Amino acid sequence: MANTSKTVAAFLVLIYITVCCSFGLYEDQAGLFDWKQDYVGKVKYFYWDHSPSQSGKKAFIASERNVIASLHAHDGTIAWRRIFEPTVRGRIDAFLYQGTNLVSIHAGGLFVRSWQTLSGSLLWEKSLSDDINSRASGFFVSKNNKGEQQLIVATSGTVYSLRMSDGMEEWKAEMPHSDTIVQWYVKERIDGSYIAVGITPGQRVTVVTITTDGGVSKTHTNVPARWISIDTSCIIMDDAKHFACYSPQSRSLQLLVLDNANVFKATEVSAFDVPTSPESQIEGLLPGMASSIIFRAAHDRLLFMALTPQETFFTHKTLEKTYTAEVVRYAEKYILLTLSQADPETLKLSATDQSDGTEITDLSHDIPFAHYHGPPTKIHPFLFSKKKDSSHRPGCKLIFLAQDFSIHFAQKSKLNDENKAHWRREEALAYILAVQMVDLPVSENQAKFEDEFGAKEEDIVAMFFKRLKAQFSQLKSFTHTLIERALGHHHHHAKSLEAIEEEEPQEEDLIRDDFNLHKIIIVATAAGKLYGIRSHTGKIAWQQFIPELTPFNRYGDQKLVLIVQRSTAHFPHEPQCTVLGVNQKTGNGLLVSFNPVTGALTMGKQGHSYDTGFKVLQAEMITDLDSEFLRGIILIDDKIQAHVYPASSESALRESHMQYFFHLINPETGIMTGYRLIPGQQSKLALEEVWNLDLQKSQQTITGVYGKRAVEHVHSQGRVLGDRSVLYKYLNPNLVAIVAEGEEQQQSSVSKGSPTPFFSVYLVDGVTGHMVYHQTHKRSRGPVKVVHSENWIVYFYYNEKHRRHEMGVLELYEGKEQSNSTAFSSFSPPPPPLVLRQSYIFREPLYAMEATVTEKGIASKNIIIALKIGGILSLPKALLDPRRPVIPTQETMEEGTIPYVPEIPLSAEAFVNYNRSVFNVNGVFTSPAGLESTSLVFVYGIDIFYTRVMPSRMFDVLKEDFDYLFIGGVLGLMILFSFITQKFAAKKALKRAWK
Amino acid sequence: MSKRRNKWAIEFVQSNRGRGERALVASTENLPSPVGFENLSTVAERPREADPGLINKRSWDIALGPIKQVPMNMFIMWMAGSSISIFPIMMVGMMFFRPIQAMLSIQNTFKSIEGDQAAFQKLVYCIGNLACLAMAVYKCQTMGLLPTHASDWLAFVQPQERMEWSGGGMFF
Repeated sequence: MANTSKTVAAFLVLIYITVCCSFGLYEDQAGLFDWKQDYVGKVKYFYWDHSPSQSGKKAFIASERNVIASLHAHDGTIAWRRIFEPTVRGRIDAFLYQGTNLVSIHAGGLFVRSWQTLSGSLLWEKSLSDDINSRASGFFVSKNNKGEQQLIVATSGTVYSLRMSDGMEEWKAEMPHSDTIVQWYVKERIDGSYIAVGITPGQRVTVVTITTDGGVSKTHTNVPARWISIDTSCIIMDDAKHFACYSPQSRSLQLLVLDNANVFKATEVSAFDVPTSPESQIEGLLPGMASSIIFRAAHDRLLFMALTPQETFFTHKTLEKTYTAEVVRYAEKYILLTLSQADPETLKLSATDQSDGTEITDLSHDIPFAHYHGPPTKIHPFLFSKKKDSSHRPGCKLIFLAQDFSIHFAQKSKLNDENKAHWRREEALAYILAVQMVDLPVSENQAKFEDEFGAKEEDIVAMFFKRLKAQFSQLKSFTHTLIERALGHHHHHAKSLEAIEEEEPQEEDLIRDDFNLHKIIIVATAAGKLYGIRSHTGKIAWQQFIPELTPFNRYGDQKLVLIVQRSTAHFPHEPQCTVLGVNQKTGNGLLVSFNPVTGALTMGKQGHSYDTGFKVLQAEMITDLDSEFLRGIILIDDKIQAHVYPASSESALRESHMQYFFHLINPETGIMTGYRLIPGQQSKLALEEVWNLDLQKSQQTITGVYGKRAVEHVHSQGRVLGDRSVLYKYLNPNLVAIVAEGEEQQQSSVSKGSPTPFFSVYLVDGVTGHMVYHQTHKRSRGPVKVVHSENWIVYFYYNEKHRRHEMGVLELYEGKEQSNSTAFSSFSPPPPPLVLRQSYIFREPLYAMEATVTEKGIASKNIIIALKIGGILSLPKALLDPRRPVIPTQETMEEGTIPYVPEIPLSAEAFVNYNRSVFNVNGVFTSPAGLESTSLVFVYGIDIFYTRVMPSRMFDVLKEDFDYLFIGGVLGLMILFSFITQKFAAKKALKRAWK
Repeated sequence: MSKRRNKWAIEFVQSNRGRGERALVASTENLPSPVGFENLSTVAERPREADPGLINKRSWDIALGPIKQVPMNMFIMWMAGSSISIFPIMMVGMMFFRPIQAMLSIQNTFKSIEGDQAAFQKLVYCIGNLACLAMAVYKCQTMGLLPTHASDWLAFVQPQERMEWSGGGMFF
């Protein structure tokens, strides 16, 4: 009885605290402080909608980010979108469209799904194979005798024929060599039977014939092909008698005659007098020409090739300086549409009739196209006849893709009003890898004030004159804004700005606001594209495309490093950001420096990017500023040599009062090595190996290393307990958390054979290699998500024993005495810290999490969690406190700890994105704002979402609904009344005196 | 000469009386004294002849005043409790305010303390006030308003300076 009442009390306290600490938005605040943008990713498959009612109004796409979507052609917005798992299970192998049928085939035939074209609702789903590493293919066939559409799906082991109406299986054909073949190319022959070509990478191709009703020919032919891989571009020609591939190793076209297959016949591409490039591949079949293919030689060179009767290729047309071409059938004619460069900012679309070679002027036009998209890679034209004209002249809606993953739409407009029918989608924003937020520069007036104090030695008269000048200009701008406001001009201005879009950033617009809440969000994407996004509107302020910039890629884990080398605080020096990636051509490290506010690239000796000349293993920013207020970057090359970028920043290392240490972790060997950096006098930086730590590669693999963020400040050095004593935090700035996951063979007889997963968390001092703490979780598995901040580590994992997700928390304390209150040195460390630990049930799986950061670290911390259900949760750290008492006492109440409850509650008000769900989140980025109470949150993935959170509520600003007029009015009235009553009182006193 | 005609006159000289009742003095000089009227000067001289015991007693009254307040203060303190809300704070404020005020106006009070034990009485008066003050401080202490713990100075503790810089991580 007592127990239940206690739990009830605990719950009441908990509810009270969660309600008071988290707070939702009001309805009318939705979208005021936050914005969300939806993306689809790099387009893999594209179809125009040809259904009678929606013809040309919509387009269907399937993307590399495992998304299928329908886009409106008039403005590029998403009509509907379906997102699949980001893992291999959601991979789209084939995306087929015909009439009103839309089918997606996933993960080697694990799922075949049919979609309703108008709404994107699922019609039927079928699972055919669970060999997810192979690739499935498929196509539609229509059987005339039944008048019914069929879908042929080829998985690695079986070819299925499915009825399109309900997905029922008509027949299936077991294929040979199903264990080695990863992909089948299948085509229908004229007589209704099928020819199938299977690929075994690095070995051979297998040719099989399938009869109309699913019978497989007993004999199949194996043709050796050592050059073939899963990514080789191959095609079965129109006549279903030839199979053509492009082999990038030998730079030749390989042709196989399917009827009497015995050997591939190679044709060197160089025989056609065209150089090959990494982009070389077979683009597809050429409609309207028998046995012809489109071959891409380079990004601006296309060849149309046909077969001679002797079964060799010949080029019948070469398109020079053409990025992409497409042949479309329109009104019984085959029209060739090509896209080429007219001038640096314009593309030219030209259309020619294939039969007589005449140009169709109705379709040809120029398209404005900014240089920062790279060359176009593919066009998808949609031809229609203009019904309004009696002449039935053709019109063309054109969607084309560019190298930076952007989708562009262009349509020739009658009245030559450009831009009207033109939109684009920046799909590179679905591939964000690194984020930073940079303060906007102060206004001109503010800068003048700063300038006043910046100058070192000046006499009083000059300084006075400067001050007068600054204040005069301030007055001038104030009157200017007053006049503008009075004329109502300001409003119009904002409107027109929106209309011309983000192309020309207005200089006065990129100015810091009062509380420094508006920032520039710098993002670096896997496409090699950099964007500056205005945080308050979500509009793109600038963009830069660096085609040679590719991310570091270790086991599919892509990474770019983005570093703010100089903030905007050092006027008149320009701010500087640097992104570090891999040079696509050389494989070396590539550094690109730019001004984060304007987007201007810093020009060096090698142009706008700097090839380091070595492979970069690790990089880190130095905290000390050099003489030009620049923070250098230490780069470690593959020979374990240290370099500093820029080289001039090395002086900061020499002059620093700190000692520099570096630690490197090789996940292949599981060894962590510590180095000391010795800045030599002769500009050569030496690395001296100091210690080694073996993390037992044989049992576990290191999956993550998490240090503390450099921008973080910790205001409070301890924690006040209930008896008003202080528990000092263990704030080791060099502490890193290392997570290693592994599997353990069960020894007991109960469950023999099946290994049980476990993971370990190590807290290691990065300077001395001293292991501060170590914890192993048995029967738990990752992926482990970690947040490391202040004196605590929060990690998220899956508990196999209880089959639930859990949040573990470690908090480190020095104790009630601080051993050294002025400095922290890892060489004379405080006694081993007191580690408090606890784990809580967290019922939802999550994508990513991050702790909030504020300017001075005074406000309490929240953890921003992107949940897989689409919500973004702002969870107070107080709920993840290991000191939460099981039995609340007076003392714990005094301390303010929440009574222990095993489960972390998810309150609906704590979802900062209310109904704007975000999926496939890759990361969460937080940044401090000028206000101590506020932290800015940027969530990126397939969608990007921005908002601000106040972990300790808005304690430093009056609320928005604060009634200034009322309070001011009351105050004024009271002053007035006090004057009047004073007068009255004096009068009364005088009267009384006269009595 | 003119006094005869005027019934009253304003006296400016004797102005250090209360503000409201200043001024009106009937010009009665030339009126004959009423029946039974005695000259006041003889009455005024009477206190001077008062016995020193009375003076001593009065001085003790003043000197013991603060100490007499102590039990009352104790009762108020007990009533107020140790929760931090407006009334206890007001009480504590009053308890601080009164002794401090008394100490500030100690010169005036000492003027009225006369007699042969004056020095001792002054001392007792001071001790009484200090006791009141001490009680107020004790009350603050029990309410937890005094910054006597390390936690009260935590906000002023500077962050530890970093002696070593470390960086790095996994291979890219």
